[in-house]
Amino acid sequence: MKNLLRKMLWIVIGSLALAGAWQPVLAEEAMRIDIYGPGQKQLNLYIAPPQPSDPEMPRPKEIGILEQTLSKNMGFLPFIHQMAAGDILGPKALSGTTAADIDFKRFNLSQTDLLLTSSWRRKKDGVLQIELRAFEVFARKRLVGRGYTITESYQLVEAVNRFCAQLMKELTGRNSFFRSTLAFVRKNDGHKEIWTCTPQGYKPRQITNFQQYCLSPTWKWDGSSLACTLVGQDRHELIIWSAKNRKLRHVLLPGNTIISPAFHPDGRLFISIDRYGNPDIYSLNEDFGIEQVEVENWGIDISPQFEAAGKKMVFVSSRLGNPHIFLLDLETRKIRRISYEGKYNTNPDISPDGRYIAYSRLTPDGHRIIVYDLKTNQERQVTSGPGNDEDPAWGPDSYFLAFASNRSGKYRIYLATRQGDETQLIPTGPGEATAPAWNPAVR
Amino acid sequence: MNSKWQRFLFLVLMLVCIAFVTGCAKEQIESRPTGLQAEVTEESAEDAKSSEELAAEEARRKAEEYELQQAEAEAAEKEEARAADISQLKELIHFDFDSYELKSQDREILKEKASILRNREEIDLMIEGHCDERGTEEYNLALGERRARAAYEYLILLGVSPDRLNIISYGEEKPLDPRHNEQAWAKNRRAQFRVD
Repeated sequence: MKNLLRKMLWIVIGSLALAGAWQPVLAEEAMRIDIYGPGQKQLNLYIAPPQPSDPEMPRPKEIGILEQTLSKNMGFLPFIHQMAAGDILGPKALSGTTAADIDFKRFNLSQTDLLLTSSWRRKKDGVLQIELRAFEVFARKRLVGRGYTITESYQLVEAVNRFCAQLMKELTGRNSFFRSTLAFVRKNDGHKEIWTCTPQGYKPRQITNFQQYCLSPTWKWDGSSLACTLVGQDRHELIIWSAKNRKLRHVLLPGNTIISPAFHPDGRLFISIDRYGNPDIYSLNEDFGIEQVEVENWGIDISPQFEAAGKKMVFVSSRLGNPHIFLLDLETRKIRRISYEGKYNTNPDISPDGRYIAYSRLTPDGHRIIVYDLKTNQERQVTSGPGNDEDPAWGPDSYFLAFASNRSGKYRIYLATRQGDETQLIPTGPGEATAPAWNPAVR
Repeated sequence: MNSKWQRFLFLVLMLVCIAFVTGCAKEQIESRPTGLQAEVTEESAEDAKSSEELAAEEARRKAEEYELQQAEAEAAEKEEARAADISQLKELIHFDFDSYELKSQDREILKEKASILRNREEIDLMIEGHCDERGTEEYNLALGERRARAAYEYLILLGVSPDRLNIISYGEEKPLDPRHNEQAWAKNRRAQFRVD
């Protein structure tokens, strides 16, 4: 009996001890965001006003850019809710920017989950130094702390991006959103050219200048080059841009039509050409010569896209009369139909993790983005217009989804997620923007 | 005395000679108008001859001019006929949404094109495939190709050499009507023909 009581006592003590030990673990995990979950929660974030190291120091204009960039970057993350200064109890300004100086209690009472602080100082030689920190309020713990020396103003945005990448990695385990590059098609003066920018719209850069129609940009998986179709006056050409030397190479292929190039993770380029009078999908060798036919039938076969493992290829085929989405298992060569609803399903992209297929379906209200889950075989509409939502493209994290929409009257690029969170406009500059393509190789 | 007579006779002879010489010179002066008249007569004859040549030349010129006019008229007629043929060759054909099927009226249009192409060996044709903006870019590029190819294959079937035909798809990139309505979309779903 005594032994039994002793055992029970130990069980109770053990349970209490475990419960006590779990408390901080639970608190730790509360700050982790499962962006792949069915519906992630939102964290309340407060971005405190930047503090000068010396209160007498005049505030430089770069600090305004710092505040704007931090707020803009955090605004792209659907799992972050930015709190206004009025939501915080007590004074707007902080007494300091390190954990020791912060009164976490008032932020805790204000239901703030995350606190971002920044401090700055201008050195005598004019160089700006900034320190950025992110704190988990409940645990009073610093999640990320980084210092940056800014000698040129353009470095400021890059510094904030790096900090945000680190913070996102702490919160979600992924940071590619702040480290990737988007290629897209920009229409100006009736022509279409390829441009790149960050997924937040920074650093826009023109890649082609043919004064023709450059379409369907696609990245090699190591980010070393980019391919696109050039629709010229009399013929189509395949264009390869080298990220290393920034040179453009023209490639002529058999047939009259060159459509939708896409790199396989092993480096080969897949493309739809009408070699024998019908758009079929071929793989090309390293020198962009024809290697073999991959998909061939009487209908139109275009738009191949691959998962990171390189075993599955999604594509469009009109073999059943109307364009539909199909999945080719590259190992077994079996083809599986993915879309059944509607009569016009195009623009497929498979997530790098191989689980989701996004595509656009023509509905009576316009094109809408559909995400098909290969694990559950369920699909859901993740955009709702108005206008047309087209060209879905998965980010390297298989979470973000960029797409083109004319919901504002002109085609622009927007950001959604696989859960269908509220969409965000990616500012790509003047001219209509379409066909977003993420660089899978993050910087 | 003898010598006196001799001197007298010499003098007389001298006078006679002088008189003779003077008399000849006078005749020469009088003969001048006759010479001038001959020259004038000769010139008139040349004039008469030149007029004939001019008339002939004029006639020749007129004939040449006439021939030229005829040739020009013929050329203009040919050019007009060629322009009419080219206009006929450029006549568009239209398609339904997401379709590359040739309609019966478009087959007739293509028959006329084939007939012209058979008669005009010097003409090559670029067939452009176009789509409306409703589809998506890549699929429209493929659909445009199929539309151009439908016309291309029908022309070949009608006896036009494939060497004289080229195709290109512009997808939705070159709409004829930039509006965003059914009327504009119907205009933009087309095969267009460029004479090279």
